[in-house]
Amino acid sequence: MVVSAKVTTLTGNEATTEAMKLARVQTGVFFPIGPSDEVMETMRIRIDQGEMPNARIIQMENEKGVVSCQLGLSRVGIRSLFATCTEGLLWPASEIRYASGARLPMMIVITSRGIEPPTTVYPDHEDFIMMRDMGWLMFYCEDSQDIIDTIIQAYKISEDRSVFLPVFVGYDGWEVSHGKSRVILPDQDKVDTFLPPFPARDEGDYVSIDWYERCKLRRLQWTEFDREYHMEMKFTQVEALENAIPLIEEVGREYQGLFGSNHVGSLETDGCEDADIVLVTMGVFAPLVRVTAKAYRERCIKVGTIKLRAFRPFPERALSEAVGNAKAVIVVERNCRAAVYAELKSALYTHFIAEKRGKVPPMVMGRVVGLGGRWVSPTEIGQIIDEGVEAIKAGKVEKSMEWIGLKGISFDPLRDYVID
Amino acid sequence: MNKEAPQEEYIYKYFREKGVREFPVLGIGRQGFRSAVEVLADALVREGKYVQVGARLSGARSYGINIITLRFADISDIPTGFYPIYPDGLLAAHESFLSPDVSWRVTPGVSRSISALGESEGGTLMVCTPKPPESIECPLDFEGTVATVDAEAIFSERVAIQPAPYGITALGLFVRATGLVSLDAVKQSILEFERLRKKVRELNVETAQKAFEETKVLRDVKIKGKFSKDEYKKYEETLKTPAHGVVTTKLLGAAGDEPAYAWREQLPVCDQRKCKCIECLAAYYCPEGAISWKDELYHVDYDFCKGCGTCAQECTEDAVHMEDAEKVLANLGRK
Repeated sequence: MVVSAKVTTLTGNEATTEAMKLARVQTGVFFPIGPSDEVMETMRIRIDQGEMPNARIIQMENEKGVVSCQLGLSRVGIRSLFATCTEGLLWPASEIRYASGARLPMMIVITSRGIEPPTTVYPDHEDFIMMRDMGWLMFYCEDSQDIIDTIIQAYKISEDRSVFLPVFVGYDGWEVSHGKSRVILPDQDKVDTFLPPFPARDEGDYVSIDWYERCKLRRLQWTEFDREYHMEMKFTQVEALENAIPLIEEVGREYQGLFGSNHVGSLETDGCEDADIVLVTMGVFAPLVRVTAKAYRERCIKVGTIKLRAFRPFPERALSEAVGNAKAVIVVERNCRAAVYAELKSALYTHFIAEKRGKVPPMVMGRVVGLGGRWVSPTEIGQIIDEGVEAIKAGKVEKSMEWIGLKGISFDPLRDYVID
Repeated sequence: MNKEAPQEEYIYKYFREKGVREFPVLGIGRQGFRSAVEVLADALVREGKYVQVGARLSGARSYGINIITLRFADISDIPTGFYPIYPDGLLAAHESFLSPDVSWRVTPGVSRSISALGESEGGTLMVCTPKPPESIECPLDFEGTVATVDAEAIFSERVAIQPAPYGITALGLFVRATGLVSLDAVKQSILEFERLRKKVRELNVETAQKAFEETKVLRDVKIKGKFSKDEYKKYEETLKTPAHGVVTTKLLGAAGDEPAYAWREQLPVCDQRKCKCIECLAAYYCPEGAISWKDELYHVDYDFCKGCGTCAQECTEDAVHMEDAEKVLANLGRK
């Protein structure tokens, strides 16, 4: 496999701007929030230095304005990117729903940060997970190389005719966004052959008639369109998300053939074929979990890891097949909803029990770690694996969901003041 | 390595087998240590390694100390994270980081770096100080190599800035003491470091070379720590759950000892006749969050100001100037 030449170190935010340059993103729309504002600051420097000739930056008055601007840009066929986190996603909530309902491809990069209250700037996946019902495609990245690969592939997937949905790409704030790691940059020419320009949108398609009619008829709720076809429109939207599942794999194969990267597809598995325990994780913990799993493997406990790359559409079939031979699956989560754990359980039910595609479903355990940027060390991952071993020996799961690393508080948050 | 957690033993062995190296870097804000680690990461990648940099850049009320962990290896699976796991040494911007009186109270990251160093099997302790390696003290028992150089003096000889940004200069110390990266790669990375102007990059290449030449290295050193591991661990436990969410000046003790105060030679003073803006732009730039806008005027909380001069540089009306710290504090006392 041929891999192109330039090797460098980039932080996550710098990698996002690099991907914007390679994907020929024409507009960066923004309203600042840390740690994602550095993306637009870096983009401004690159534009001033002449590296992105056709690009421009638009600052709007708040995040709601930004996504509104992106809706317009997408409608006229301009590729755009918005980098934000937490409240910056909550502000434009109705515009985000609009984008997926009106099938307008755009990208929002989420530099994950814990949602307040209590206020924190340090990362967890909460703000990424909370967007799961918006109807967008969702991908998560582990380091700078992954960010470049994912953003380029995500544009191709989201702008494909059979999908045509907007996309979230996430990575951990501070740990990935401000941490340098080694990157191999793809060639601009190869990316141009891989990623076609934004497809023109036909005049007079059904969802834009809906928009135009709404504006023209002054937001008349009961148009004929709405009465007759609402459920069908919703079905096509959900079907589009399902169409993305095979498309992600196909685009991934093409990308891997051209650039040789392993950051392709809905999952990245490592040693799951013969593993007794499989750890499922997402984001910056992936290298940590892989290293610990490999250390355990040398001690004759067979541990495999799965890094989840696509969260929406949730790769139910692929995950169920990947964990098919394991006895226990442990999900290492960084969000307080335990979202991946819940969705994995329902996927395994469909695959093993309802459709009877495999022999016996594995035991599933969920472990929540690292919220608010709390430090997770290999010791804690090792403890999690040991708990999995005990569960296999006992034949049942003692604690199916637990939070690791809790310290305990001595005050009552609803009553005591924190005095400075 | 925590002997009570048995799984650590083979994770540690895996680290050693695969050659994953880790160096926490303790620096003060505005001294260029974050840039230095980025340059070092670039140099290592130039030589074919994979790197991960975890920077705990504390936000407002930072007390100045930043801990940046650099990990590198020949394999691509390197754990990320702010705090050190199995360090191969420590690079400290000042010997006061190793002094229990000062550094312990300030942030758990510093004490964790030191206790992790004490638990690993020796390593390379690098300190930017005029003292020779023989006279370096450590809170815990340490075996390995000690290296020192007065990077601040080397930089200040060429350019007088307060506080002196000698982070990149200190890379000469790193190269000489560890030998894990070549000086040529570091120099090349400095010359391509886009955050600095061209002349400043060339200046830093020269000071890094001088630091490389003047570094004193002492191998096979055994330092007896002032405290036993249990005493240090007990102290670390108190740091983990502070009584309040924010450590205040009351807990820091008398001003004048702590690193942030040791650095500040100048403090900002605002000329109120020139202070005209609707909202203070300099307040947005303060890395400590010490500036507030009270009664339509600039107001600095001198307990948290570390004298970096960013506000003076950013004030568009030229109203803020840096003056000698002693004078400013004396004037405050008189009011």
